[in-house]
Amino acid sequence: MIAIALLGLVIGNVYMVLGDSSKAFGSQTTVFEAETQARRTLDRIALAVVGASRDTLFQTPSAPASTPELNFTTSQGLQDGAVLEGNPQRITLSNADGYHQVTWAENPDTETERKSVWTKFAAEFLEGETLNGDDDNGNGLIDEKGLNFVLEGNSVLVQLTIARKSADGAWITRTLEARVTCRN
Amino acid sequence: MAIRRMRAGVKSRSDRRNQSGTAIVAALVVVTVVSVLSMAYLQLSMSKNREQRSSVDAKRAFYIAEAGLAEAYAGLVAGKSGNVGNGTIPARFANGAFWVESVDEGDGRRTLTSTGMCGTGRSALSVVVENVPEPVGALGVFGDQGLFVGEGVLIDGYDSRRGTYGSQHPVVVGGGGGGGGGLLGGVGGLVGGLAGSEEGPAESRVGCNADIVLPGGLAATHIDGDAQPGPGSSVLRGLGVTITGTTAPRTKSAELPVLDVPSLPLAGDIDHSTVRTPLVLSPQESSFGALRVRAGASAVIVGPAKLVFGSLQLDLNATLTIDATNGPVDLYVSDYLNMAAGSTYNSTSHDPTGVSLLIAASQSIDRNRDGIPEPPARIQSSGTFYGSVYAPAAALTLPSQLELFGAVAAKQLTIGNGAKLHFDRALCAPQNGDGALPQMLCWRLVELPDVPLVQMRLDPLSVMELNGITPTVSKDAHYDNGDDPLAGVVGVVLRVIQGSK
Repeated sequence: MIAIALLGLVIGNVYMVLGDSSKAFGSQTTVFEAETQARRTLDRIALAVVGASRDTLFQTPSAPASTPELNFTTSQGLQDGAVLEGNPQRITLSNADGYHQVTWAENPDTETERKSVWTKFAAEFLEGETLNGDDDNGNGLIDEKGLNFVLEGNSVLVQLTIARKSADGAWITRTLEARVTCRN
Repeated sequence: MAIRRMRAGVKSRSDRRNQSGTAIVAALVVVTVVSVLSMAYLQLSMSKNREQRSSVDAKRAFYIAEAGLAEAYAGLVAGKSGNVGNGTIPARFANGAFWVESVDEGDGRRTLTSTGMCGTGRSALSVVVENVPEPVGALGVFGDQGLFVGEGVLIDGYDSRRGTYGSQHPVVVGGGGGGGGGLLGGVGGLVGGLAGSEEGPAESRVGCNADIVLPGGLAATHIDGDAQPGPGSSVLRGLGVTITGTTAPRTKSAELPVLDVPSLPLAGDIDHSTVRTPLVLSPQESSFGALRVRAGASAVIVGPAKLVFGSLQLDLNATLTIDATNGPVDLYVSDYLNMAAGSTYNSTSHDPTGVSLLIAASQSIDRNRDGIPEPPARIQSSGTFYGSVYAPAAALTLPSQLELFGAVAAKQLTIGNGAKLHFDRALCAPQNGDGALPQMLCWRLVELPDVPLVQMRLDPLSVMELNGITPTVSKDAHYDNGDDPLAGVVGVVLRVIQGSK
């Protein structure tokens, strides 16, 4: 009887340790995925915006307003002695299939549109922000979305929050920002 | 009894034998599960680490590529080709490497493509830069279709940014040679050295798109600096002419840009004849049909001002003074300029960059109905003028009585006997955003080149070290114009050595 009790105790402890480890591992995996998603997406956005012509960022407001959508063109180099501008591009935060997606599109709203989803796990609002007309997270912006762009002189401030649900149902959020100076 | 005991003993040993090992199985299971979890966690950590390192490398490669563009740009400014390093032996920079390819696109444009590498990160960027022509003032003393330099003329240079003309030119005691004044007497007569100047005096620039004619004569003619005729043309000089710099023809003709006369608010005509009271013009921007300063009268134009005159005439003994003390003065003459002999043309400021006389006039017309057409521009004034004179469509003669500090360029330029021209090299510097530095037209990300060092995605410095290649420091990796960056590296094959990071 004593042996069985001790065995049960040991097995119970082992089970609990394994369960906690598994949960921690799952949680860490989700955190890692959220961080990776955020960094990769922000890098892609930054690389797209860095080559944009400043004059074409026509829908980018200044703080405290922000926009979840950026329209721009990039240079394609010289052609026949003239500088060639590329096709219009758009980076936007949209709702589709129940996800808040960050999408990049070339020739948006046309028949020749090319589209790519850069992440499906963006948050609806930036971390700490809710839709109430106030600056809840104290970053100087009001009701900013999970992806938002703010014009700062010749630069564009890009902020992104990625939100993922871990195995135990908790929301893991990661927020990154980059300040990109347009080269053209 | 003994048998029962014996059986019990056998059973007990048998049970113990059956039970032995059950604990180790359980322990093994637990250890295995923990090991699997540990391995998974380790994998996750390593994966996270790799991901972060890869991200950092990519960013570093991007910035190294940008540094490459900056290095190539600096090379272009210094007269290099813009090529820095090459795909086999790139230039070393920080903990990475880059190389820049420079392609001449014609029309003064050049594409610079920089490939940056750091660790496993790779990035390729491209910019198109355009050479902006030097300011017209940088031409110095220039004639488009011809340049005639009379006897006893002195043309030298200085730099108003370093001080006055006097502070950059030696004091002359006595004097040596005859004719042209003591300053031309040779170094034997120099005393005191270069007061107020650590460097030597700046040289002048004399140029033409055709022949430069210097007949010389009894009075020595001295050009302290270069005198460069147009491509295929010559410097035709007689006795007593000294040119200290090169007389080699220019490699290509210089284009005199067409003068764009601005449209300014019209303010009517002015005919000033009151001798006692000088006419003071101080509007910032105005256009006049005509300004005539009659004999004995005087006019002062106070800067900052941009004025357009249909015709500008100074009669005998009339005086026109330009006061650019408080701001630049730009005078445009669209139809006719006549500064009669005996008139005086002066400027109060000693900064040549602040005054411009821009003559767009081009037609010879008989204005006084004597049957002889008057040239579009005639300067016969005396005085000391600090500024630049530009007449791309008119022949111009500078009289001996007018001493010019600055620059002059005309369609045809004649410098009268005994005239003194002092070219100010400050006029070569970019002004009002119009400079000689290449301007960037566009910037973009481009595809990575198909080069082994790029494709193998290994640390470039390690690969080069393992192959016995020592990359050059970026500042020493520039190529001159005409040099082939790939000469000397053809046949060099990079070996990928196992274990290289």
